[in-house]
Amino acid sequence: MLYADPGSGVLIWQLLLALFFGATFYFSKLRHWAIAKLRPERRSETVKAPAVSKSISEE
Amino acid sequence: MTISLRDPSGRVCLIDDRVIRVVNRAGLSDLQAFLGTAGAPQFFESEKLVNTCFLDATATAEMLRHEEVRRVYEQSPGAALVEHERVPFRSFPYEWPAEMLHTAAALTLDFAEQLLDDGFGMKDASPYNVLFHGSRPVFVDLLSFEPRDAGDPTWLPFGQFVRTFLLPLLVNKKFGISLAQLLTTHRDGLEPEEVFHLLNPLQKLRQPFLSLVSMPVWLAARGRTEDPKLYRTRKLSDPARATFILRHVLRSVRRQLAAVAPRAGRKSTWSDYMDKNNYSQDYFPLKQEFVTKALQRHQPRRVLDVGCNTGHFSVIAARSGASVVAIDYDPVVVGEVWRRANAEGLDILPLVVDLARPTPSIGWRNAECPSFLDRARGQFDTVLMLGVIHHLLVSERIPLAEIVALAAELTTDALVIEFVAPQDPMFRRITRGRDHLFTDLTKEVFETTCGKHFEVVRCARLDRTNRWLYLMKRKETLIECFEMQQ
Repeated sequence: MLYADPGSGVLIWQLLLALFFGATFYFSKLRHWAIAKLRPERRSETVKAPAVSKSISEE
Repeated sequence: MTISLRDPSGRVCLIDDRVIRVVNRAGLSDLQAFLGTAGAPQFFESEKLVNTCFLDATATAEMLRHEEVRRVYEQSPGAALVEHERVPFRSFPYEWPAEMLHTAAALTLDFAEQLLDDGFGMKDASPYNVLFHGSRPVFVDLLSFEPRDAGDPTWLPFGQFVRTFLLPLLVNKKFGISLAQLLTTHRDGLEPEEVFHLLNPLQKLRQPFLSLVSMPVWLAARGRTEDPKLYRTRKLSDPARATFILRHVLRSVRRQLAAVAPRAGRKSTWSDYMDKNNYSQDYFPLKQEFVTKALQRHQPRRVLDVGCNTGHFSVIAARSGASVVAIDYDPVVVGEVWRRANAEGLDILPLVVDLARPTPSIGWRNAECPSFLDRARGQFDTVLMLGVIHHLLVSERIPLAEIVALAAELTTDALVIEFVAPQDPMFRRITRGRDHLFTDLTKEVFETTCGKHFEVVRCARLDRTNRWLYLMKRKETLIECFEMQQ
């Protein structure tokens, strides 16, 4: 009878989790890249905002 | 006395109430690196980590006068001595209710997660790394931390965390098997295979059983587990990816921990005892007044509340400034005591201990984890035994003289004890028709038996019941006081 290694299943399970999370790492990077690309546009919107409010206050 | 021997990096010795750790060269390098991290001071400040200091040359030389420390020190070239703050009462995972094991697990995960930023990992994840200072968990093993290989995406103690925290909590929650039963005989916890046999086919496919039990069992059966390559260190070329994986693995473990958390408000035979007993309205206020006055009079520093139930009197003792150890054999009520003490910040350490069958000494040579009585004898200046001796007398068949003798071993000064006569309805209920066995038990017999060890300071009948409360002082204490006055 082979020596049964009861702990190995948990280790394999962790390796599978690691594989899954390892794959999501690239998706996460992609998401961060996309957010970074969109951010400058948002900034430009927020920069415009005070100008508008200024003009309102001038009125 | 050496109280740890499994750690390859050092040994802990208990010398005259001081906790000294002899750290060998390898351990010292890891320890110094850990103390240099940004996270270490925060752990000390938040009291998550036991207070520790290095002994200087003079203190080391003084400590090396103790043969035991010297022997360990001489076996470890380049060793250093550190001293830990002593946790007032050592307890072990098999004495904790599920709530305490759960909070010890959460603390272990806090360390694992926060140390990632400092490039550190953990060597192990065992509940034996945690002790409780009152209701507050404290991580006591400073040698558990080591610099992490930046490219390694595996959490080394994952399996141990599952075995010693998650599976016992899961089995306790879903099958009601007490942690004392599970952990007294299984030092390193439960293997998924052991839990798998308890599951029905539907449970095997449901969370959290699926990921904690079924998947590991099926994978172990299908995988080439005899292949040594399985245990090789894995290394990724991108350290950021390894940290990302590790952080997400730890998050998934935390989710699993949340899934096995014990439910609040669980019920047991004893959980409603305070609300649903047959005594008169005056009975309880009189009892409370008696105990409160006794505590105010003696101002105890350390109290043992035997048969604490939901901890009403433990709370009174803690509020009077005492450090309390509250024991009861019902894990549900002990869990409730912990929840309350933790929420209100009270210095109460609740433990699942049955005084009729107290925790034995276990571990290597029966010396690794001392018995409850070995840890408790003479450690308390006041012992409360309220509504408990009739259970010991009747249900456990312990002779009265034995109960009183044990009380005299546990307390160094005062004993507050409730005598319940055989005519009491609760006494009669638990005798189950064997009343004739206790016909000789009277108030006078009780007082004579107690008189061998204690002097009665005060006695009061509780309303018109067949119950009396006594405040007693140990005779040796009285003699010592008398001698001091002379």
